[in-house]
Amino acid sequence: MTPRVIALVDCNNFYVSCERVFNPKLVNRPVVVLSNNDGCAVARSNEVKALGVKMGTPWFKLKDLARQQGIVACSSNYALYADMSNRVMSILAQYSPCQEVYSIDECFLDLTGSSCRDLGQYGVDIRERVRQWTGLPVCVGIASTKTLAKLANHIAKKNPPFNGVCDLNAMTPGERDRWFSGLGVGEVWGVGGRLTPKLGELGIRSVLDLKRAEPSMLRSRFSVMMEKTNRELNGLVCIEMEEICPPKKQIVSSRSFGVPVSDLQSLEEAVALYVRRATEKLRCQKSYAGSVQVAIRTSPFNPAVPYYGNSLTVSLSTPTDDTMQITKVALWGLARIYREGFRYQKASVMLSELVPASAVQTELFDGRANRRSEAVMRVMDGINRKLGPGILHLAQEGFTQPWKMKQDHKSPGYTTRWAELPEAVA
Amino acid sequence: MEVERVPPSRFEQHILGIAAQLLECHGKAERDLSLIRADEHFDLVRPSLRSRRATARPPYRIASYLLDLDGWYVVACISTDLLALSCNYCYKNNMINKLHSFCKRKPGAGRKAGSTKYGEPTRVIRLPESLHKQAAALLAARIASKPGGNIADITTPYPNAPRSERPLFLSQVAAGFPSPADDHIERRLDLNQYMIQHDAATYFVRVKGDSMIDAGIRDNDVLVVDRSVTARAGCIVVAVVNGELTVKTLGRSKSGQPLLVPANANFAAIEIKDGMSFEVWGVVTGSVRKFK
Repeated sequence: MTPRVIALVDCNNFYVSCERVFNPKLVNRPVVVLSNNDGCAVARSNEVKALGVKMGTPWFKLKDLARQQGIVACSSNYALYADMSNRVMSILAQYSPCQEVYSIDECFLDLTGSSCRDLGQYGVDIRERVRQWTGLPVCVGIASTKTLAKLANHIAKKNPPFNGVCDLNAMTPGERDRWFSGLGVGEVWGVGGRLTPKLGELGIRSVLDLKRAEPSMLRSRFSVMMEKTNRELNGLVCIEMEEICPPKKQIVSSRSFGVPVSDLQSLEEAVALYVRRATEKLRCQKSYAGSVQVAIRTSPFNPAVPYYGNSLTVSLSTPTDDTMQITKVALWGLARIYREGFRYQKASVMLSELVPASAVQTELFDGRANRRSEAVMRVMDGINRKLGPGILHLAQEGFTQPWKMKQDHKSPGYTTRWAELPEAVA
Repeated sequence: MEVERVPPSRFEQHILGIAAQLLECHGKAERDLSLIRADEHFDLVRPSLRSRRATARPPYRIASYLLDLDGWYVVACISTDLLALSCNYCYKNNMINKLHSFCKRKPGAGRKAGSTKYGEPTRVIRLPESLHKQAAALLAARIASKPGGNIADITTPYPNAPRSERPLFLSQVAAGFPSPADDHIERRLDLNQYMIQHDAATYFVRVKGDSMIDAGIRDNDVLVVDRSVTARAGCIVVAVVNGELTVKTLGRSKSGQPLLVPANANFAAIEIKDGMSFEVWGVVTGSVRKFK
């Protein structure tokens, strides 16, 4: 039997790298990308990591250090990241008929049975092509299971001599174990910060310890997942490739406000906007929602003002993907949980009980209303795709949106807007 | 259709509120509401009521409301003439199983005597186990022999928002001469297809400046830049020099260093010297200009 060959390709510091492709001045400078509303650092360049800045550090805490060290902050530009991600994934799809896009910046490729003899070289080819075509640096980890491929990727990323490609299959068992003994168990896929101390109590500290642990013991002490992880570390595939990512079961759209709001109208505007975003995603994955949850809350961090948070889930009579219908329901729900006299900091909308659009039972006779709503939504999506997101929206969203989130350092839509293309001096 | 979670204690008050809204929607007066009230139709939701089949069916049903009671759904439907109010009462995951309904009957409304699937009144009897199969077969044959028989009972549909229109035709049947061009349809020309070879590697870059005029590249043109193409001397490229993007023709100086050559006599070539940061960002494969 030919051994399985699974590669994990992961972009390095993805958001920062995307910013650098179009703004080469950022190369070799410390750069952070901030979360929505410029809250905290969600991506750090190697230079920033070297300064000891942890993931998720709030930006206000970083400001002094940023001034001293010249750290550049970018607001997150998700339109750009999503486009660059799509480019990377379509390039990687050329390398294997079996691809699992695992997140915005990483994917698994099944290379089993590939005619290529030297998989290390194959990894180098992948890395170079992505680098050339997109300007993004990636690391490639190759191994016989997904868990091992993740580890191989980690090794490739942290050890410069690998040049970004690590093939565990090409190593002898002894070599592999040497690497595993030097890696903390927390680096293993699926072993989070919570499980690491628990494993430590049992004397399992390194990856090698976990690999050599007794699977039945792991199962009884932890869960079947830990047993699977152990088997995967020993080269037995327990977690298969999932080529088609299952449609999401829930869609959440939520943001913190740039400034706290107190009036119902501002909240209504925000909720209407979030419904539009969520329903766009809903239609994109061709699902209908069976219920809508709307939630609001004040800041939980400010003890000086009274806290209020509430949510309401509203079931829809028939599952739908109609922005107008869902907005109506969400605003109705909002009015019922809204209390005067609070400074709200966040609102969110969650669509759940999602069903595939094809499986919705409609009325026997009256398909007309549905088709009309479908047509309206198609036009709305079409216009927004053509002219930019949110060009056509419900009036409930308002027009000035003073509560909108802070994005003081956002880069242009280099690949998604004609007016914001990168410029080259001639 | 509106749904809300309410405590059982508030249910009655709540459904009255809904009924009031309903009346308003349908242009009925308050006294119509009192009619409902007087009949105390709202007691219906009590599980102790004897179960009946729902009678409020289209076209009578005009509006229905769903309430979520501690995991139970209560569905209230009010008919056009406000004479009927029915409540479906069932567990969330088991919508049709339990059904309690009530209807103030208009004369002649409801199930007609003898309107069973056998076409005559029925009576309940106990059968010995051994005769059960035979009897069932006999009855099945009886139904099948009746015209219009053998149709599965239609379960009450999940109540829906008011729907008054009932279309007769959903689609048109074309009766003309079919288009002779139907078999010869081709895709209309797409400029993307013409300009772009490698979709994933192609970027658009806006030109600022006049140094490439003689190469047909003007200020404000949109360059099509393909990063997958390997740059050779003579290619027009977008290059990064000291952190700036610039568009020039790639060349080589006598000393073998890369040279960025403009296409305009007023500009000088840029020779890349040691210590300058330089990288070819992508090869320009096309240019787009709009005149209007």
